[in-house]
Amino acid sequence: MNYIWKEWKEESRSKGIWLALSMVILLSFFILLEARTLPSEHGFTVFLLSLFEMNVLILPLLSIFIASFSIIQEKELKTLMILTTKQESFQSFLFKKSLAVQAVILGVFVAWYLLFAVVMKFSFYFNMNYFMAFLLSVIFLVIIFNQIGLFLGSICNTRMQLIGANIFTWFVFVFLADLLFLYLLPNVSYDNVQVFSIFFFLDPIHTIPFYLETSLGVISVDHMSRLMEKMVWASPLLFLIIDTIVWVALSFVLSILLKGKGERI
Amino acid sequence: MIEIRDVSHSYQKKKVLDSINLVVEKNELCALVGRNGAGKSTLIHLMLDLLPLKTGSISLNGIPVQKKGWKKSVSYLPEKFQLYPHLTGEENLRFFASLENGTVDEAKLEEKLKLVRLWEDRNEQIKGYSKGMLQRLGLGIMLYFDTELLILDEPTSGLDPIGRIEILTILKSLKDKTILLSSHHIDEINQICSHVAYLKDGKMEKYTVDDFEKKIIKEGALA
Repeated sequence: MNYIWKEWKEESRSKGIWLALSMVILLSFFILLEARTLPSEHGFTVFLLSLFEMNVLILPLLSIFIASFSIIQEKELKTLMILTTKQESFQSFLFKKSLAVQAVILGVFVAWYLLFAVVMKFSFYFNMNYFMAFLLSVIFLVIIFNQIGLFLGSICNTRMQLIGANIFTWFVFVFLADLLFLYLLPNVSYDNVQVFSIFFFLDPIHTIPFYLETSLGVISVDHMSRLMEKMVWASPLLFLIIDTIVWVALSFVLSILLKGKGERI
Repeated sequence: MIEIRDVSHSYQKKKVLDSINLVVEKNELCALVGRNGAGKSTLIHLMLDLLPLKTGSISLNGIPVQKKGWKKSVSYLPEKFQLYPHLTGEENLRFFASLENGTVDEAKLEEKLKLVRLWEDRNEQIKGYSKGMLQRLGLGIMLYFDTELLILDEPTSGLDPIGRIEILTILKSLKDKTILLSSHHIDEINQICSHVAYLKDGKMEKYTVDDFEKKIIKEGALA
């Protein structure tokens, strides 16, 4: 709890998180203005999808930057050194720090979307289930990229190195992975579709929108072809949960294994 | 008490520490001295398990540093630390104080803030603190833990003369503490230390402060 308290005070007073939130707020209002002209029966669905499409671009970048800078700051300020020579091991520090960063960043973005739901309610035919699916998608997106940010902050030694690593990681997830899948697509057949599916759904940028689109009824997983049945071998929610567990666990373990050359912290 | 036996350490092929032996007795104030790059910080990092110990053994208050339990009796203040700039002095101390069992002893917190003369400035964010105030706050945090052994890496580095005097005054006032203090200032070593551990060319020798002055300063080894 003391880590969460400390993280909240540091983040809220350093203003970085408020700048990030202001970007999300601006984005939300501009998309709202655009979507108000849509027909009322589908307006809310289209609005949520458009909003999430923008979030897929911006939230990973914001999460990675805020989380990774929070870790590198502990190194630069030498507080990590003080902590690991007192009560903490690097593992226990990283665990508590992860909880604190997740709680603060999630808290801010979730609080905003709950507040924005009131505006949505007055602007559209509001569907609570749809909104909850959207909120869950945002939460999973932020959790995964926060943890990846914490990993990057753990393995980098300088801020410049970290900025490069952050932008490269965002580029890989948001652009490069798609190009890679497109390149591999012609070679996918009924025999190897399940292997392709594992890699495809391990990418949160595919899994989370897939979950949202099925929850909003835009894509149906009923009456699929045999090929698609083999591709979508679990429910979208299960894919999402597996994805989150894999990325959070992998980022955590790799943070510990790759944190520095020869250094214990 | 600190016991270092046959400790060696290399960075790639360069041997920084070569079979180092050192014993710092209970309640002794010992200065760790050596030129820049002599291996002082490396030795401190090995002592605190911040670097993996490959050869030799180090024990702090009788507990080998590879085993659990040594952290309870040791406090370490790194060189050029900055703490959390957007927290106030009191919030910084409160955070570190709550690490052990989640609770803070309010009377002790007040006592330590007064000891390091930061009680009046406790509600200011430390990004506005001077270097001397920051150094005193770090010392206050170390003293809150009330450990028998203090390891301080250049605690007066970068301070003006008054700031140095303030830190030395606090250190001199401490009772029943074993202190290992890395320093470049002979005058402050004279003021507060009884012994000097001198690192040169990867080897270590220990002197009383008087002997160190006679043997080393006259040879111009630190010049």
